[in-house]
Amino acid sequence: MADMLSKRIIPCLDVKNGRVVKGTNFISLRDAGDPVECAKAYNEAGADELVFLDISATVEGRGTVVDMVRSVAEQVFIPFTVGGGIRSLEDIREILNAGADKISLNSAAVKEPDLVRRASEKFGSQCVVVAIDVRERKGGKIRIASTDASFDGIDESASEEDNVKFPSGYEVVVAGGTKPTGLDAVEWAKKVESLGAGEILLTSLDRDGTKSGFDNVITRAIADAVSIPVIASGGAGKLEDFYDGIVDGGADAVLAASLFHFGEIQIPDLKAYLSERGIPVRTMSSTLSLWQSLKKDPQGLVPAIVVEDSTKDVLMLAYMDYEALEKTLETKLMHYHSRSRNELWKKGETSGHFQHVKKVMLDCDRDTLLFYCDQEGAACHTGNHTCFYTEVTLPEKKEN
Amino acid sequence: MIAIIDYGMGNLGSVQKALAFLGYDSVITNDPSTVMGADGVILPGVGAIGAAMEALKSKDLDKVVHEYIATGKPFLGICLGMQMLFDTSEESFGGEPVRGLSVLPGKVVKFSSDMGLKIPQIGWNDLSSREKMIPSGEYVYFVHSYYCVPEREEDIAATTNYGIEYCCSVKRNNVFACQFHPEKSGEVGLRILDRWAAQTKA
Repeated sequence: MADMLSKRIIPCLDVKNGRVVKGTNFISLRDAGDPVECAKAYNEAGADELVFLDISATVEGRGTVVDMVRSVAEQVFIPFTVGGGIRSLEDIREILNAGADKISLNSAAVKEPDLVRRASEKFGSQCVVVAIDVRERKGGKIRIASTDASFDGIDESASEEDNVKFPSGYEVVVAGGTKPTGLDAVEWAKKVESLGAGEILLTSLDRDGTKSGFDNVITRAIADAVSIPVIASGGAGKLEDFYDGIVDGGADAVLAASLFHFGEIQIPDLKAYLSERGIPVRTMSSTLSLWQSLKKDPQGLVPAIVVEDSTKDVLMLAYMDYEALEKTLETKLMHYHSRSRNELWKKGETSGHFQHVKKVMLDCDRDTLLFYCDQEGAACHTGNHTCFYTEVTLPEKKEN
Repeated sequence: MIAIIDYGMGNLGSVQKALAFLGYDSVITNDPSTVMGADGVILPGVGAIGAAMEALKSKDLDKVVHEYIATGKPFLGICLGMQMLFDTSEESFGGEPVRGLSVLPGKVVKFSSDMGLKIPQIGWNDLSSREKMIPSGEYVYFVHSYYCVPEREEDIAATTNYGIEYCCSVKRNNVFACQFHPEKSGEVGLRILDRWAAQTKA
């Protein structure tokens, strides 16, 4: 569905000491722990943005985030957000300067709400995401994370009065959901908006990991209460959950981690699913997708081998840039990038020796294209049928 | 060599990295002679236009922009860098509407809150292109609350729809500008940047 702002699909990657934890294995990567490789893989799969959550426990571990950001920014050109342990304007400045587009504040915002204001004033609201983790407080019963395995998390002694404290029925929690803040979820969302937050990343900790769907009650409540975008997080398990998060929850974007990492849901499938049901999603033309997935040489070109379809004779090898590939696929006539003239070259334009494309194959490394063509006249400018008409004499094998 | 104007506001690093990825050398600078000597100049910008114009003027870079554009060499404005090319912006700075560079006739206005849409527009939207450098139907990344209304229809290079159909790119002679962020628009953005930057090697 075109002609409007699309809903965003955002994979979240946990990083620890500069390495991706539970690395992306939906696609075979050389190194599933490498943040750059994971980011590239997600970009190619169609992710609209990325979130990197730093879960390093130590100061040294946190220091590696800046290097990671720099590396990712050199190779991946979609927006990405960095969160986890960001506490000061200096932290923010470092991460944004290294190349991140946005930072996310969670406990630091609760501890010091003014940080949100100062950050948005200094860097702009568009850089400041406030992450809000929530737990339900309905019916007076409280669910608390506990290390005591025998404790099911429900505090039966909690009273109806607790419900009054949380008009929305949800409390903001921090420290991985273990520390209650006494803040009502909707009130806090409105507060951070007024302080200058550019977006809200809302995570239902009750739903997180359950695959029972996003909590669309609180998502909708917050989406309706603020005029900044809301990213839904926590609980997605199947395709319908993303649809519901957008339609019922009113989310502008949806986030998931393990679901994408383990390949349980592929982003292209999710986008097709949403699109079929009328949700606007970002797509890319097939030619552009193909070009994006190809490994280019240092000049940014891809070699194209041309074989005659009828005889299977190898005719020639030349190079393509995006324009040449686009024109070739569009017209089914071979176009190349002339390296000597540095311009688009339509084979046959002067000689009349056009090459009609019958089939295109991609090599295993995705760094070369093979075209089966019907050749009009000769392929070589010398008049030879093939460019390869000169035999090289193999050296004699030396006897010892 | 492409010069990326540094006036203290903007996604300079991202633009430089995208250009480097495409094989183009660039320098981030506020030095007038470096800018004037460049083969191509980019004016980026993120934030509030009032502060941006003040920052630009405080370093006399507004004059440099005019001088550079007069040379006819390729010029690219991104986001705020596009808005600054026009005459005025509704976005006030100390109560007064902001005066832009007046490189192109037109004004900058805010998305109406009556549309029932979130402001700013954040995310990917698709292009209706009137210009070779911009592929039609592809999605690019937007983050903005204000949009440009060029006086001359023929200056419009592309439009997109956010409640209303509005101009998201302009081109007039050597001046090209995008409301969206080509350096953040994945492969589509890289193609647009590449097409623009290729002119600097011509």
